[in-house]
Amino acid sequence: MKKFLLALGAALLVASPIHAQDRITLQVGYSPGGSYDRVSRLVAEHLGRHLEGTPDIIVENVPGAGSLVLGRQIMAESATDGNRIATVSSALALRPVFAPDSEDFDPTQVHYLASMSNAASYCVSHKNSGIETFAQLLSDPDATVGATGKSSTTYTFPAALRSALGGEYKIVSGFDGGTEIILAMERGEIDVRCGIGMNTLTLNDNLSRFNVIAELALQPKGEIDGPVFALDLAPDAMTREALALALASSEVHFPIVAPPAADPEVVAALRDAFRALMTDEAFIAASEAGNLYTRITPGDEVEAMIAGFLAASPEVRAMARAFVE
Amino acid sequence: MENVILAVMQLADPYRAGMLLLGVCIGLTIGVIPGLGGVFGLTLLVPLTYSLDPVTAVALLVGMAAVTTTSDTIPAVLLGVPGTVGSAATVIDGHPMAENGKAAEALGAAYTASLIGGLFGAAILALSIPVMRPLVLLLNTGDLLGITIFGLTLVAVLSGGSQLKGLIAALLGIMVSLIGLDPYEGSERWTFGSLYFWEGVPTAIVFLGLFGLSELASLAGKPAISTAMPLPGRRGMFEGARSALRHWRLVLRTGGIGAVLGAVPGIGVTVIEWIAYGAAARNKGDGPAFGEGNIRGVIGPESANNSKEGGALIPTLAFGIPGSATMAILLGAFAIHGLSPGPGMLDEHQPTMIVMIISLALANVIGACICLGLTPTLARLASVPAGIVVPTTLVFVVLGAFQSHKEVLDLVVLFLFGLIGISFRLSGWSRPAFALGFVLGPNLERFFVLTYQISGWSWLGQPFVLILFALIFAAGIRQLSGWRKGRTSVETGKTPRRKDDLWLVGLIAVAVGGLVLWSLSLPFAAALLPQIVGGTTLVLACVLFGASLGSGGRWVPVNGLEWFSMRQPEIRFLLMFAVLSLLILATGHVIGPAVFVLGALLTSRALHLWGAALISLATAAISFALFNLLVPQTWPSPWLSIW
Repeated sequence: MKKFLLALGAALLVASPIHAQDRITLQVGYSPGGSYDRVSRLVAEHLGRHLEGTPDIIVENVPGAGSLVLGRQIMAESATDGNRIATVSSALALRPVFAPDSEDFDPTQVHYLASMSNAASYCVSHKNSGIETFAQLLSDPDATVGATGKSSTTYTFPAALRSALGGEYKIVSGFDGGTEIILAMERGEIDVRCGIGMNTLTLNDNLSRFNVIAELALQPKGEIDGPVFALDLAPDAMTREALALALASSEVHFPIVAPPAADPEVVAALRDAFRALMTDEAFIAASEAGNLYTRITPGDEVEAMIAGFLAASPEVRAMARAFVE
Repeated sequence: MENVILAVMQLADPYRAGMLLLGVCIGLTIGVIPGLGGVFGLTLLVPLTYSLDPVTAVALLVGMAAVTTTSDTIPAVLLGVPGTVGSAATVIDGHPMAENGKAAEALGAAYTASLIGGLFGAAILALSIPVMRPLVLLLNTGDLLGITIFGLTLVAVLSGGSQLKGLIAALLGIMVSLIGLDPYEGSERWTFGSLYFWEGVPTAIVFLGLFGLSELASLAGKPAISTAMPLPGRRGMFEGARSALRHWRLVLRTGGIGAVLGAVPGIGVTVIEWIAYGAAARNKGDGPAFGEGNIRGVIGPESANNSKEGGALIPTLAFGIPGSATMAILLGAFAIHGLSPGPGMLDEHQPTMIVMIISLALANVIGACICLGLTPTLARLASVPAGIVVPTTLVFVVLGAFQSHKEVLDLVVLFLFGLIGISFRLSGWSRPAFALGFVLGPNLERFFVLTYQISGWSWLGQPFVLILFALIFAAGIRQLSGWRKGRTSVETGKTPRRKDDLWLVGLIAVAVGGLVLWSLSLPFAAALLPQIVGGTTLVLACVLFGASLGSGGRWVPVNGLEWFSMRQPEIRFLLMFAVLSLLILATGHVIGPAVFVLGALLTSRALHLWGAALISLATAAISFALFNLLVPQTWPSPWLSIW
């Protein structure tokens, strides 16, 4: 009996959770099925080829609080081997601006490895809504813009635009997700959705059903012809700067981060792998086949960009905060 | 027709047919394990489809997704533990049937209803192809609010003879469902400062505690699930299948509920299932009271939860708008394979769409046949000693809950809802009413907030809403006359009115009072529903308190020692839960359960050493295979490894 129990104990120890060195876990701060999940799974398929030892990359969903749950876990991760990386909300990069009292996530401590897209966000109206231009939306007090929670970009973007540009439209918040807003637009209950990205916009037949009325980015991207560039409508320089800060998260879509404790050499290797992915034909082909709009920005550039956002003056920060409240 | 023939030929390819079968087998296995569901299965399978052609990928994924709600009936009926959130309602009558020696009959009826429901859903999907888009747009947010209110009135049939208790339980369910960020302001409501509660209390854990733990606690006090002489497996199974066919109207009605509500994004499987159960419970037929093993209570939800997959595919395919979490992942997988939902789906991808419909139908047939084939064997589980069944099942209930966030709070929440479930069961309070309030609460608030912002109060004049209100009114009249005739219903009045469960009323009043006070610090929009629901709960609790005191009911004074001896099985079970939780936290999700099972089986003397060791090893192997190999996850470091 004693021998058997010893053997049993040994077997169980062997079977205990192993943190394999030839495996990297890419955690996603959102549920399976959404854009963040799809982009992460695409990365997991191709990134390993560009790392020493060609490790397997497995995807794990850790949804909760708009990826803040995962953001907090990554901040607390003590391992230095870089075997745990994460895709978190682009909005977390601006937490010091919009949630200055919170210490959940410090974008200056984590290591940004890359952002998977720098595409602009857009405001779109349904073709049956009668709203064909952004100017029409701004001046129509009966127009409605759909939003999820008040901390999501579906709310903060149209709220910032309304405050900065003197809009009169109504924001209807409380939808369960972006797709529910689109359904409400199809039903004619909602006219406009803002903060929609290229991944959603180019999916299915969306472009034939919506008017793209405004481009929300820091620089015009020229991805779609026609929409007005929202920042150009700002009445003065300070308003433009504050509005840019409120829209800044659109520049770093699907950022992938490593924990603050990660070894600098590991971080450098991971950044190089993402850089190699930029020209990886198999990755690009798979991305197109899967209708995913990926335009990688290297990690060091992402960090420089975030540092620029966080260097905004206190007045501009306060104005940006007031815009989205 | 050409496309149908093409689709059939594509699926007839042995490789693709094999993948469909594989998908069904994986789906059935996942459905049996408490806490896992279609989302888990798709997370496992989607990466495997990258190298497959679209038709094979569709066959594999749809095959898997279609049947998790078929096999989840097995633990629901036999153990009282819902296999997925979609089978919680099946527990209410399915498990008492197993306790009465009718496990095979319950399973036979459930699979037959699942099969017909699943085929009905596929048929509705096929028929709706030409009118898919207008169909999805038919109901607006105001109508969805009307449906939610209509759903809440089902509490009347779910609490029957003890209406006041049922109503309080439902309101309590709503209160619990309001924990988290409110949908309008996004302010933290009763989250205790923890991110864990931002998105509410996890439904799967609530149901595992409310039904799973409380039924296991009850089983822990018995020699086996059933001590009654069971019908021979095969005969019982056919008897159940015949019952389902005899209740064909109910099967089709609840199948219709599943398919139609499944097509409405935002309603959710849990809501559909309870509404279907409520629809079945409106008429008890010639069986026993609901909650005591009425076969209609098994047939209704089982038909609905399989038919809803066909319905949920409608908005997914018509607009690319997923009707459920499972559909959201399927949609992502379709995109990987270049399938673009929308009007194009009806033209360029029509053959693939027909493959999808045929896969859905075939998966339901295969899934039901496999389960029916296994029923006689599975039904024997009812006579396996509780000393073996309880610890092994408890392991998977706890692991199922813990894998959702991998936080200690998963275990705390499971324990709390287990305690609520046990208290409700012992005191004759309606768990279905609580569950109904819990699943409908968030929809009630969200649809109201949205409807009010979009159309003010004008939704009250919408034709569909008026029809629903008329139905509510008619049902109210019918219910009143039913009470007069002294009808009994779900999990109720079996126990005579007692004054000694007043402690529960007091506890509820204190907890709800605390939450209402807390809500005073919230913004108006976030506090509105909690204060209305909380205030009503408090008033009703006072009425119940007064009515019980003045009713002349039986007062049974219980001293501490007596109480302890009466509740010994439950206390012992909760201690087992605590030991298992500590073992998992201290030694991890592989070693902890194995040690626990070995210890529990040896302590209870249910098995000799070799048998206990074998089950212990099997438990560890399953946990390792599921959570380390198939869907690898990052588990917290065991406490012992930190030390």
